[in-house]
This record gives sequence, structure tokens and C-alpha cells, in this order.
Amino acid sequence: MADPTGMRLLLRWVSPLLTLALAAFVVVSLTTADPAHQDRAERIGKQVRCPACEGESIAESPSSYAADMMGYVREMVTQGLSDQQILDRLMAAYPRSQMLDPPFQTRTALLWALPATALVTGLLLAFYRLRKPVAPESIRDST
Amino acid sequence: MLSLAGTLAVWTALVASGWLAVAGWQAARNPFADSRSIAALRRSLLVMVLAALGAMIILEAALLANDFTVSYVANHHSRHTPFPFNIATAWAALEGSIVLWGLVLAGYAYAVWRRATAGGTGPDSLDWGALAVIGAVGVFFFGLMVTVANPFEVCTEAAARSCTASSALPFSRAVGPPDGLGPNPLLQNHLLMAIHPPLLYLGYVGLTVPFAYGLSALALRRSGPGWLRRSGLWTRVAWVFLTAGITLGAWWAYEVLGWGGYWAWDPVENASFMPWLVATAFLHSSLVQERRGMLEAWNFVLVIGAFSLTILGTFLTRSGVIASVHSFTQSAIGPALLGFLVVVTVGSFALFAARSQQISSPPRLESPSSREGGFLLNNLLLTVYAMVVLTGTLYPLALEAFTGSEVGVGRPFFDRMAVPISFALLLAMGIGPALPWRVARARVVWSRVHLPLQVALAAGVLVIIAATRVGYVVMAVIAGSWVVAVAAARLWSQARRAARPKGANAWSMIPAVIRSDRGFWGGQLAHAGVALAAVAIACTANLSQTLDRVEMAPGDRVEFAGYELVHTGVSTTRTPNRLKSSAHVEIWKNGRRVGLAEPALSQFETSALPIATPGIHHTLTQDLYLSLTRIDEQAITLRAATAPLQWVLWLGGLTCAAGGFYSLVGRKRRRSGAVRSPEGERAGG
Repeated sequence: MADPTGMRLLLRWVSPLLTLALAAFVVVSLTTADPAHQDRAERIGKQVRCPACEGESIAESPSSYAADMMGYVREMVTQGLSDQQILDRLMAAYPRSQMLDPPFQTRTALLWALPATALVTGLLLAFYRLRKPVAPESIRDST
Repeated sequence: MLSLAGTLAVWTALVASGWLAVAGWQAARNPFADSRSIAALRRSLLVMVLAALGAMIILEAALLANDFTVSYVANHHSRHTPFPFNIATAWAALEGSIVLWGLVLAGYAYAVWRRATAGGTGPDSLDWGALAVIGAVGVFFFGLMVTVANPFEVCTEAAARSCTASSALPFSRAVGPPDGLGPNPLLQNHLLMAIHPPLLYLGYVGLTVPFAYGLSALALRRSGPGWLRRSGLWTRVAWVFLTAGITLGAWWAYEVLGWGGYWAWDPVENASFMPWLVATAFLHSSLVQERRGMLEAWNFVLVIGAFSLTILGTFLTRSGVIASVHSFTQSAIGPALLGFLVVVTVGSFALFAARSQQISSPPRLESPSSREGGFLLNNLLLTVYAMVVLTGTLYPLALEAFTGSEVGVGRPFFDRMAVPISFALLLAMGIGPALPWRVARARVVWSRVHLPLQVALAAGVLVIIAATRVGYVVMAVIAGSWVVAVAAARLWSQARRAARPKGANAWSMIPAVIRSDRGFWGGQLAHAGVALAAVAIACTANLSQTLDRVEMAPGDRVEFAGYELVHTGVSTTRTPNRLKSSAHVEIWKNGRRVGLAEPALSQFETSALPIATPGIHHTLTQDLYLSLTRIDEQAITLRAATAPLQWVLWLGGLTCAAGGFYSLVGRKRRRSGAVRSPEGERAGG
């Protein structure tokens, strides 16, 4: 920090501009990128629990039951069905299967609500209990 | 014979734990504890340690001597279990794992005693109180060993390969099967399996110690820095083991389980992750109390919470309520653990509530944009994270128990919740160390972070240009580099400041700066480990390519991810307890043979389903992961996947643990007298 004016200039103008430029490049390239073309059947299969095994998706499970189901998914993908159509038909064809990602319903509402409640409670608690009621007498830049 | 010795050892440990609880409590209540009560405490402690060690040694001896009259040996061991898995069998099933738990607990009790009596200030009632709590916890676990989880029962009726009836009375007429079935086949496939459970136990059980100090402080009305410093130290110890244990556990799953992943949000993984999150929160919020006297009540909540979560995790995985790789057979241990969990949480929080008036009211936060504010954010995120994992793990159980309807909560749910929280944590990890205590002015913060921010963004740009435009990967690289760059910039500016008065080279001052505040820099190293892990997770989750189930006859070749895979044949090896069929798959790239992978399916005589062992071709940029779903002489069914930068995940996890270890070494030094510069955080940038 040899030259204070040069330093200030750098901090005030050059640096923010450079940061903005880099950030803009990142944002633009990411928003214009093709959506990641992972195997669609694989992606759908990962959302469905293999009924014959514990907690594994049909895409991951080595069981033959899961292989059957994946085969059906692939078939429907090649037929060009939408994700939702595929899932609906799969559930109809294999009634014992379940989604691994629980849909939002009344019986699953708490699942989503509890973490949200924790977050809000935490924020409120921090805000009310620790809000600054003392006049900060000696505030310096750092300790 | 060994049953008798084992039973005696466990009963002795049980009695000694109870004695430790009583003697510890008596010594704690008397501020001038006389040498007689201290001597009683010491004696009970030594007996407990020796008896717990004895129980473990006897169990190992029974395994090594193939003494099938001991129920545990008959049910979980086989003459053909190879070394070192015959040793590891001691903790490969329920009863034995409780014996290990007891031994680790006794070990911690001894370490607490050593630490308390070796320090310069001398031990005080807080230490005695904590030992009393550890003794009480010991009563529960050794109590399990003599009742519902007794490994030393005498086998009284034997079938060909197992023990069909056993008795807890050591003088019953012993009958042993000629051989046993051996441990769960999954558990005798890889060396990591022998290592990662003991590490995790050192982590779990270690969290008993901060809990014990917290309870001791509450019971003795001794809030303040005393319990906090001790709890902080022991949480670090447990945390290092827990971090290493979780990492090695994930590594084991990847190398052995053959489904291509390392983390499935399986209940047992969650059971280790929740205490880790809460312990991590405590490590950070304890700094705020140490420094500013704030958040003491919250710190009590965290140490109680972390311990309760370890018991909850043990209940979930050991009681059979959730079936998984890790849950052992169903037994009466479930209700016992559930009861203990209720006693621990209700009892501790009742004590906390009763004492809450006496916990010093904290000075208020001057500004949310300050180091304290950063720690608050960190704690909020980590707690919500733990809450998400807890809810997701328990919800299906609770729903089924109360309404009977089944719902699956799996990977997609956890991923969706965990990804944003993890990114928020990474960003907080980057900004936090750059914030001064009390009040952070925007100008000061900007001067500390603008360069790291540009470095991080530049790293993102580089990845976009050179490698990939997948959003999660780019964002993980940016967030990760930001964390590392902020720490590096702090280090550099402090080294320069230290060098200036001496006219020295700033580079040469770096070791001294780091040594002056090992706690802080160990923490930064742990942050860097998390950053590495985040990048690796983003890469493996988003850039992996997969090939699903191709049928290959010998001689067939298949193109995949720039490789050519050639199936050249099948070989089978038979060992006494399993038939292992391996496929030989040559890996070619650009017309050159780069490797040979041998994915296999093993048929153990004890289990109907074959166990898949992957064949992994490791390279610096990615792993090629091959596994089988079917194999015979005519054909194999092969699955293949790439795992980009997989090794970086293991590096990150172990770096994280190493950071914790380094900060631990630093604390030791400080307590034995060396002067520590206050945080090394003087003056702005």
C-alpha cells in the first residue's frame, strides 16, 4: 500500500469494475449454457425407490427388479414421453414403488414446514435477543 | 471359560461405572474435595478402564481361539474369517459394538482424568462432575452388556453353524457349534471396514465428554469459561475422529459396496452427520462465548443436542427400526436405547431450564455485520441443516407409526435441501474469517475480500472456458476458491504486517504467523478441506457419465466415455466361505491398454444375494467405476460410470480432519503455558 491515493482509486473503482465484469461473464455463460444433458432415464430413475431393496433408487440398485423398471423407463424415454407421464405410468405399472422425493401433500407438509420453522425461529431469536440495545461506545474497525 | 471371564469383566465395569458416578459426584459437590474421595474416584476409574479393556481383550481372545461356546463368536464368527477381519468381527455386530463403545468411553474417562490432573491449575469440581456424568453414561452401556446385548452368553444349544439358545449364566453347560457363519459378508471385503467403525466410535463417544462438562457446569452452577474451554477441547478431539470416520466411511462405501456412490443419505450416514453438524456449530459458537461472553445458553443446548443425536443415531441404526446395511438384527436393545434417549434429553433440558436464570445474560450484539454475526449465521445454517437431516430421517418413521401411511424420503429430498444450505455455508465460510469482531465496516471488509473475490470469479471463468458450463460445478469452484482465497489473503496480510517492523521477508513470517494462532489457522485448513470436498461433490454429482447394464460375452467390446472396455474372460476363486467370480475387463484408451479392472460378484454361503465388488480404474482426473449385476461363463452384465475428481473428496475430508487436529495441537500448547497472541487479528487491512 505504497501510494494511498492509488490504493484508494484501486479500491473504489478498478476493483469493483473488475469484479462486476468477471461476475457478469460467469452469470451470462451459466444462464446461456445448455441444460446438462445427463441421461434422462437415469435422472428419472434416481427419483424412484426400488421396491425390492432398501432406500436405493431403481437407477442405483443392482437388483433385477430395478433393471426391469429401468428398462420400462428407457422405453418410455425413447417414446418421447414427458417426465411426469413417465413417472405416472411407472407408478401405475409397479404399484409398490414410491417416489424418493416426497410430493408436497397434506401428509408431507410437516416435512417441509419443520426445517422452514427452524430457520424462521432462529432468525427471529437472533434478531430479537441479540439486536443492539447497548450504545456501542467504542467502535473501531476491528478488534 | 471365556464366557465366565467376559461376564465378570463386564459386571466389574458396570459396578465401577456406578462407583465412578457416585464418587465423582461426591468429589464435585465438595469444593475442597479431600484426598480420600479423590482416591476413591481414581480407583473406580482405573477399575472401570481395566475391566472395559479386559472385556474387549476377552472378546478378541474368544474370536481368535474360535471358542464357539461364546454366543457372540458362534453367531458372528467363522473359522475361515481371514485376518484382520477376525479381529474386526469384534465390532461387526451389535453386542460387540457395544463392548467397543464401553471401552472407548472408559478410555475417554481416563483421558479426562489425565488432562484434569496434569494441568497447571489443578483439577476442580467441574472435572469431577464431568467424570460422574461419564460414569452414569457408562452404567447404561455396561448395563446393556449384561442384559439385552450380552456378547458373553454361554451357548447351550447349537445347530450346525449357529447357536440356537444361549444363557447369561456363565456356569451353564456349554455347547458350541463346530463352526459359525461368520460376519456379514459386506463387512469382510475391505480393510477400511476394519478401521472406520472404531474411528466413528471415537467420534460419537467423544461427544459424551463435552456433554458431561456441560451437565457438570449446570448441576454445579458453574457457568462461565471453565466448562466451555474443556468442552471445546474435547469436542475438537471427537470432531477430528468423526470427520475422519465419516470420510473413510464414504470411501469404504465407494470402494466396496459397488453401487457407484459414496453417500446415499442412508439413516446411518445421517446418524453420523447430524452430530457432526451440531458439533461443528458448537466449535464455532464456543469461540463467540470465549471471546465475547455471548451465546452461553445456546452452547449448553448444542452440547446436549450433539450427545442426544449420537444416542438417537445409535437407536435408529441399532434397533432395527430402519433396515440398512448397518442395522444389525432386531433385539431388545431398541427400547433400552429409546428410553435412555428420553432420559438424556428430558433430564438435560430440564436441568438446563432450571438453571437458565443463572446463565449469565449475554452482552448484546453490536452489529450483525461482525465476526460474531458471521458465527451466528454459521450456527443458524448448521442447525437448520441438522434439522433438515433429522426431519428427513425421522419423517417416514413417524408418519408410518402415527398414520400407517408410507412415504419415501430419499436422496432427491435431501439433495434439494442440502445443496442451497451448503452453498450458503460456503459463502459464509468465505466472508466470516474476513470480518472483524464487534463491528465490520464495509470499507474494511471490502479491502479484505475484493482480491479473493476476483480470484474466485477468475477461477470460475477459467472453469467455464476450459472445462464445463454446468452451473453447480462452476458455482462450487467459485465458492470453494473464495473460501481458500480469503484465508490465504488473511495469512498474507498478517505475514506482511509481522514482517514490516523486522524488515523481514513476508514469506519467511508465514510459519510464525500460523504458529501464533493454531486454533484459527487450523480452522482455516478445515475450511479449505470443506471447499475441496464441495468441489469434488459438485463434480461427481453433475459431470459423471453412466452406462447402464450392457450384456457382454467374452471378447465383446463397448465404447464408453472415451474408453473402450473389453471383456476378456471370467475367473472364479473359491475360499472356504465364498465363491468369487471376477470379470476381466481391459480398459483401452486411444488404442493403448491403460488398465485392467476386475469387478466381481461374491457368493457367500451365508447370504442369498451376491455381493458386488467394483473394479475401479483410478486416474488423476477421474475414476472409471465398473460393477457387475450378473456374471456367468457366457456373459456378464456390466455397469460403468465415471467419477470425476473423486479422490479430491477423500483429500478434502481428510484435510478437514487435519485442520481440526492442528488446532487441537495448538490448544494444548497454550494451556501448558505458551502465550497466544489474541487471535492474530489486530487492525484492519
